[in-house]
Amino acid sequence: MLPSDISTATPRLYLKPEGLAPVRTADGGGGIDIGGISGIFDAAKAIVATAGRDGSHIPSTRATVRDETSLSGLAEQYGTTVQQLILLNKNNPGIFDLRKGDTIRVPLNRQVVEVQEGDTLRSLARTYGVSVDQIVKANGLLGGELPPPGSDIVLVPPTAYGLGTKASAKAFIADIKTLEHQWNALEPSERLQALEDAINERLATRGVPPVDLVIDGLDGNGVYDFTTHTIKVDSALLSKDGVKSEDLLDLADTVYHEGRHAEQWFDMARIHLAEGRPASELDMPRGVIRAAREAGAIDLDTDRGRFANAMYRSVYGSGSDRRNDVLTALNDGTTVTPEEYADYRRLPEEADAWRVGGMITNLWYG
Amino acid sequence: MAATVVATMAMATGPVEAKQGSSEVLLALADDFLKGADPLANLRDRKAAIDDTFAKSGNYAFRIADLADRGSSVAVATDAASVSPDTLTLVPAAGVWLKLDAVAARFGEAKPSPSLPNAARRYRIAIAEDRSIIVEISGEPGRTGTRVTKLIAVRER
Repeated sequence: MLPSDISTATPRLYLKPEGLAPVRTADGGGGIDIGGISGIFDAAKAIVATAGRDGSHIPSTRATVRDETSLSGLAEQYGTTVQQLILLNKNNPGIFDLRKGDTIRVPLNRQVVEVQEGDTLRSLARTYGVSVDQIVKANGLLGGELPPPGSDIVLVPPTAYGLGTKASAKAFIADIKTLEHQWNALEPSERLQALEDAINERLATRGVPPVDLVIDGLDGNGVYDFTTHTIKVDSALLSKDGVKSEDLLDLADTVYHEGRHAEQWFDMARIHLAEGRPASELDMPRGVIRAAREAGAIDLDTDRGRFANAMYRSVYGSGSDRRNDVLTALNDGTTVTPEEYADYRRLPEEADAWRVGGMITNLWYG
Repeated sequence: MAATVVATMAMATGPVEAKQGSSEVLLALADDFLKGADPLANLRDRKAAIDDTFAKSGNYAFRIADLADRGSSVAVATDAASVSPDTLTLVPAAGVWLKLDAVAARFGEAKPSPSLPNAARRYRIAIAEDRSIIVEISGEPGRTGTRVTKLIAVRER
């Protein structure tokens, strides 16, 4: 996981477009607050595009509007698009006039990927192991057309599984909230252990061997290292008493994101071994390889198989050179550009981990 | 992917020469760990500053002046069910010009390994079925100025 020090927010303008009901801004002033001119066009297009559609097929949850009341701001907050928010709230007449305390439906998953030059619905479907129809439905795409480069779209996997299920995310959050209450009574090692137990209980349901949570003396964000089957976490937060809820949420999101990577790599190992390729090419510990062998092959002709195989291709298959190029650009010591960051977020395994880790954020205050 | 790095002895010039002793010490620490030595005892012999805040979970961050910087750590399993190997992570201190070639010369052929989001250029040296070295480098292998930024000695149980 990387520090989200690159703002993905566009400056918001408070305008009053023709044909739309005026919307109060958060400070009570008049004017539309859906995210500036592009947001207005997005919303207008969404209204047209979503006519006759509903978002019932999109995994969602209820959320209370707090400080952020603009549709574009809420879309960013919940890792989605204005279009999908409107789609999910088609039966809510107040969606264009949100105020603090209102309740809306938001997607369970955070799932935004930026459309780039050369993308087609077919190429995106292949890259992410989903169907064209799913992309069209999840985004309410008018006429089945992909929005122009630079637009955000959402990618909903065919079937939720493992850490990607709502039940798993909610159980993990319950464990972390228990940890929050016990925080000051625990030593740093015990906090680390509680986090480790929380993620491993979820991984065990998929047969993934337990990961070790480790610290390395560096502050900052976590990372799953498949070569050691470990998740590195921020030692600074775990070492101090009086944790803030938002800091713990960030840590929980990170551990869940990295835990999803552990689940992905386990599936990659299963796919790799089933193809008869040498285990040594995976660079993973023997215990994980053993468990992957025991778990057996994944049927690649199923929705889930295609989804997992997209990530396998990205890391160990035809996408590996491209992936290494993306991550090399990200780590070349120069300032990370928005394009480089978008490329990183578009990697199938990262798009999936950000989506799944983001479930913790979207469900935390529910 | 970058080409496989074949074990060759690095030519010691400039800053490499000045800190060559330090590089050797780091490689010796990794070697001892792979051979089963107690890493903490070894680190104490090197006058490492060891943080035992997370000792109960088998995690020890440490630093050794002019040798190993922040980010260096030892992780040993405290749970028999763990499949994660024990590791010794060494972050060479600024000025210690440890080269991938030198690591390969000591431990064997280094092959490219898939990148991580925070580490693009990673290599793995398989020493035995249960022993390996992971090396992260700062730039293209073989290019002047490229150095090892992290070395992880991996010891499976």
